[in-house]
Amino acid sequence: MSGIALGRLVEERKSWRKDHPFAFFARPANNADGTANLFVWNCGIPGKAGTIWEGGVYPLTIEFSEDYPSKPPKCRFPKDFFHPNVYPTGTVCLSILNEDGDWKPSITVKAILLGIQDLLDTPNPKSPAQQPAITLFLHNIEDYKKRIKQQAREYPPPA
Amino acid sequence: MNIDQENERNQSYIETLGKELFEKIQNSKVLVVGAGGIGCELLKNLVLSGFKNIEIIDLDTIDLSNLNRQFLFRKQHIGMSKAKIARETVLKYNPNVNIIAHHGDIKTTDFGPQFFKRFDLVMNALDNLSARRHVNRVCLSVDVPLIESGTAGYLGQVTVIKKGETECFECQPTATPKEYAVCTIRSNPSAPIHCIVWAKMLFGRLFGVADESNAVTDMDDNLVQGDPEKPETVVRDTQLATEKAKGYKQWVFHKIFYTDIDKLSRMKEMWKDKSPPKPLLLDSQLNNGDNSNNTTTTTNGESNHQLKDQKLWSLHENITMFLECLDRLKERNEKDGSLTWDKDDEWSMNFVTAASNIRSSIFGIPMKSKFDVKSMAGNIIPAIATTNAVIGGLIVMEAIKVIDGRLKQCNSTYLFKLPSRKRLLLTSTLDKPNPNCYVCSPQNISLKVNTQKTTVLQLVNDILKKNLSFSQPILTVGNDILYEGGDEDLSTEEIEMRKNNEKKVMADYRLSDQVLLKVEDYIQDFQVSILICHSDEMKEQGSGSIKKEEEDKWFQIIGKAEPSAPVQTQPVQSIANPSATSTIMDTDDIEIVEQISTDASTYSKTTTSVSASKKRKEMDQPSEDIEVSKKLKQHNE
Repeated sequence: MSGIALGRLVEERKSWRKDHPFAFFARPANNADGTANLFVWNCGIPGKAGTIWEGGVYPLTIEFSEDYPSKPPKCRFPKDFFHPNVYPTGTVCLSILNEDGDWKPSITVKAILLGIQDLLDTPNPKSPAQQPAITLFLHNIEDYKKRIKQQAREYPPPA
Repeated sequence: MNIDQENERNQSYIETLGKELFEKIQNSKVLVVGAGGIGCELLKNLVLSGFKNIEIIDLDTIDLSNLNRQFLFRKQHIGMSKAKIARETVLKYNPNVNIIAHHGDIKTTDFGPQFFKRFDLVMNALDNLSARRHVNRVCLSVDVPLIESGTAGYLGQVTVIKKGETECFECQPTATPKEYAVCTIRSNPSAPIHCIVWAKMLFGRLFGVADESNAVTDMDDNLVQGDPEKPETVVRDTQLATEKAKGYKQWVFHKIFYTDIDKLSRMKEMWKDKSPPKPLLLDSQLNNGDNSNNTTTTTNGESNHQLKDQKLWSLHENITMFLECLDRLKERNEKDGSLTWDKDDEWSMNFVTAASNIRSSIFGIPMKSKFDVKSMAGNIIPAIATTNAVIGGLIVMEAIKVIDGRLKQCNSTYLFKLPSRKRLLLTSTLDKPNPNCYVCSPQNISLKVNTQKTTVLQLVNDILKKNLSFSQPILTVGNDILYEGGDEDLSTEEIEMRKNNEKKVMADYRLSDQVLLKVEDYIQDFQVSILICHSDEMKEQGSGSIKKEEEDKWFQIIGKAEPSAPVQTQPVQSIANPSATSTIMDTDDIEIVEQISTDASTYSKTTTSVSASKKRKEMDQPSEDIEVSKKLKQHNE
């Protein structure tokens, strides 16, 4: 059982339910017995309208530790998610999720999800995390776009 | 020791403390948690200052590296229980003491609330956060005072925790060891520690339990450039297969120090501002021998004055060592199954030293001696016997005040490396509990109910809503949500599932005897901790008439807290220090406290009340941050 982390996560859950951006979802993962784990959240990030990411809602798992919010949570897309700043394991590489970078305890789940949505269409070539996506992004932008649009179709919004 | 000697010794205590207090000390029952550096000092002090009933617990056994400071142990005790040997040794100092030694883990149910209840005072002499948190919580739950202590090098601290009167161990966030971003470790190291962390992960990857999140390398991937779905763009390292055919160590070396590095160095964007890493070929390195890559000369006279482990290995020596480690660890892995990295295991340590140094050399980072790597990889904080001795003494001084019922005179004491205004020790009065602390918040009640007859719905509607005035309760146990009130933003499936859960009997839905249930409200700003107490005698609801008195019989709330009841704010300051806001006696020293607290990340709790409450506020209240959005576009470098 955690002290500060648990309290903060209950608050995060409450404020998300009261107000969250359109087409996003975020909720603690269900356990087999009907309870839900506050330390693992299943989320969905919609691609921004007017970008090649539009139409997809991309599943993301957020894992919080006992040291949250002193330490940032870990954010993961599915394995082999195609994006220049996502590792082959699915882990997202983003400065606000880095303890040594711009993470601050005041950053909310909402801010994290909006930040990752932003990252989708504005990858950072300076910190590549996977070979296939960064190569296409830098050297063959047309194929890159095709590939992203194909991925958007693979992740339709939940019914 | 005979009775006369005993009386003579006691006489000086009676003169100093008074007969009454000395008797209180003799009659008290105390628990010492941990028989390590502080524990040895503390136990010795206790038996020499009149304590008669002591229990000591430690799960550890004695190791060679303990002997320089854990003076109750000798070489012949290596491998034996710390608690038991500590008991034997101090009994020689004073045989007229009852000591019970437990060789066990304080966090197990063997040592639950019933065990803690037996003591008048618990003293921590621990070395880790999770055991500290645990003892803190159990002591709060049975309302036994706790003296918490810690040392890190020259720094030390002692403080007293009493439910409802002082801050508990978790009222303020504690500094925890740093974690490094996966990008830094995997692709972009800039300091020796990054390569050391990487080497430990590599150890886990090669010899440990399979772990999906270990992102260090994919051993079979030989792709160095291009998109796998576009064969014409792909460049592969064909030599990997050749090296693999040569043998395990050739394959591993080539993969992690050539293929992976080659791939990284091709990412031109990353190396605009610094030189790219240089892939290493094993054969050419071995042929080069010591000639080109020497960083130290092992033959000069100077090295004789250095200890073996403090010497810096040359790149060639690191490579030779790395290959030998691969052989030995592979063999052990095949024989014993998955290995766990251990800083005290010679070959595990050699592996991490060699692997991290080779990687450092590839990225142009300075190499480190095995001694340095060990202290970084094992998160070793230098332990200083004198610091432990000072802290061990201070614990007893606080213990005597607690036993005497003079909690108001108890202090937090900090020991510093350098004197501040001619003082090495700084005391401050104890802070009041944080009213929002999830661990010690005083809103604790007990609910007596038949958990096998009462449903979750009855609990929510009749007890929480009607009796405790919750509006839309949120129920949590441990890390899990059991029930979320209110319909806002819940999907139809979630509401369906909630209806299902409502029908369950409490005992079948985690709400059995002795479970601590936390209840918050979706609308109100109110929370309460409820200890569930099962009782077979309690009736099922609605089993009799619907008279008011009857209705109340199926559950009973003990120590009912009123919503919005103000948290007790009785000042704990003495008259000599009437300021309620500043708890630091010597205001000039505040800066010193803060400075040292940022220095020592592992030092348990050294934030001043001012900085701590600021931080706490930030932790509690998720807030939109304009700065954040500015930074969203910046990524890890």
